[in-house]
Amino acid sequence: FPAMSAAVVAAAARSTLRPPSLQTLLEGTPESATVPYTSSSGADSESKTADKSSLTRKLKHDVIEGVNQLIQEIAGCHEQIAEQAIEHIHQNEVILTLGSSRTVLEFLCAAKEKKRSFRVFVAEGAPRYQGHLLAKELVARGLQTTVITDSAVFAMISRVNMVIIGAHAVMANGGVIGPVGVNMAALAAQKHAVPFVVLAGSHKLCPLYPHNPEVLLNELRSPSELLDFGEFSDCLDFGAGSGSLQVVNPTFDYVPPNLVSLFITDTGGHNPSYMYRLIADYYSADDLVM
Amino acid sequence: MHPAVYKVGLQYLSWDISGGNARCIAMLQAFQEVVKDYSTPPEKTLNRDMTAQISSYVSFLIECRPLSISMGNAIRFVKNRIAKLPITLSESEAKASLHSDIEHGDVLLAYGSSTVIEMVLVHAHELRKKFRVFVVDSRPKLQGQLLLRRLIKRGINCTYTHITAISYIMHQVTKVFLGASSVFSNGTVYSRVGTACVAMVANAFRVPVLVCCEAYKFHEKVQLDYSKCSNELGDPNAISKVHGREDINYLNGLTNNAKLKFLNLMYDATPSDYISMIITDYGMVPPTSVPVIVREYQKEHLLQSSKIVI
Repeated sequence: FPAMSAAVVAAAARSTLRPPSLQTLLEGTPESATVPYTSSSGADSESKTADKSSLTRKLKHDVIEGVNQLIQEIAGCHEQIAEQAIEHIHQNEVILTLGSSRTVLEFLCAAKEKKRSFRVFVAEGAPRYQGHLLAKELVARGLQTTVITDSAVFAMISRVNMVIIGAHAVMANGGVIGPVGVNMAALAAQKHAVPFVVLAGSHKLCPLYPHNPEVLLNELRSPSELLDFGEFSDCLDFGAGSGSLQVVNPTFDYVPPNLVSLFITDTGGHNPSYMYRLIADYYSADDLVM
Repeated sequence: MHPAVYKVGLQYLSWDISGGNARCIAMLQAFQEVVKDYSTPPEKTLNRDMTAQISSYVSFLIECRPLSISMGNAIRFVKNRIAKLPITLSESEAKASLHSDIEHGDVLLAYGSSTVIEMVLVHAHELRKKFRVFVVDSRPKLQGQLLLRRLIKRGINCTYTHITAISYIMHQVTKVFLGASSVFSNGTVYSRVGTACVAMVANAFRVPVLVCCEAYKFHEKVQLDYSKCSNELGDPNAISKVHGREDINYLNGLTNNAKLKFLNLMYDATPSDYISMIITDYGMVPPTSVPVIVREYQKEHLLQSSKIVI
């Protein structure tokens, strides 16, 4: 199998530069036919029972270690991002935010702890009203907060120095999947030349390219958050020629990379055009489904 | 205090009447009652005395709720024509110029609840044009639900969504229809808060934005600021409490906290570069033609009122 062995060689070479991918880990143990995620090399060989069990144990150990590392990274990313807050938030600034992100909360509180005084406008983020949650947390930590409706984002953007949001996911082109309504804020920020900053831990990086992000990467929630079930039943009488009623309640919004000024990750601040390099760092090429 | 004016004032206070046209009509009807019941006191002239009375009623209405710009224009018009009180809505003219705008198979977006937009959509539906409407709503008034109800009853297929989701739906929309409270001389459209957001996103997706506004709402004022200038503040409690959703109670008990404030803006201003066309009873005009219409309108009414004096 010349093609397979070439792949194995290439994978071995790559693994010296980057963390090993699951595929390389498994390709390195062709004898363990009992492992469920066997690579497609499918090399036939005899397996000695003692060898097999020790190899399986080593494999399990490596995988568990990898997962633990990931958990630690996710838990620690808030601190590393919050450390950079002091460079970006200055005295007497006004910050606008949407939705409720723990990263944003820690970021703003870190700036406050370093004695910067600033105020925060929080857009309420209907129909989930996550903005209310964030406002409650911010007030509990002593930050001056004002809650505004989502419709007032354009009206208030001229009074704001910076827009900071947390991302749900960051795509391979530098685009952002965020809570619904962020695209509106990003467009308004561009019109008024207000920096649009996205906070994202490196575990949020996604190697997919968004071809039709509104539809493919979105999730539609229950219409009952917008309209009560019984409210419109009196006018929806199909026999008598009334119109049909549909309700659209998406969870996420896509922001194209040209609207994002800066990404702040646990490795520092980056341009949207640089995000594909970070993805290459964290994902081995073998694990990406092309 | 005339009981009709008192009644209208209370209706404004409790938001029973809302919307530029409705408020204007209610006020003018109240003034009709005033004129009917009026009798000139001895040793006073009708013109001066009635004008004084009207001014005092207007100050009472301002106490109840700040005047909309259309009402300001209407009051000035009334004062100019104290002898007659016409209601200046040329519905048939507006409708005639509008029906050619909606094409077959269009997908339209309507924001909030505007009587003019509703008339336009219903009229087009009666002409058997097949189209869909996205009704976009926003907090805290949720007035889009009123429009939605009326459109569905007429048989128009609607999709209802919140303003946060406009980026999601905008790629399906062919035209956006917006109502206005007023249009300023630099082409800025002054309307319900959220209109600017809708116009901006429509612009980003290359969807034409059509503003339907009667000519009497035009104003010679110019405004650059989009929020703080001559705006109106609503009840802050309307933001902290969500009507109909008792599970959203995160901010209960925090309303008196010094660190937490609520901002409930009623209006916002949309810059003229987001507007493709303004549809008035004088026809379809670009936003740059607004000062021309304001001037012509004033001239026309000066001419008419001068005829009466003679």
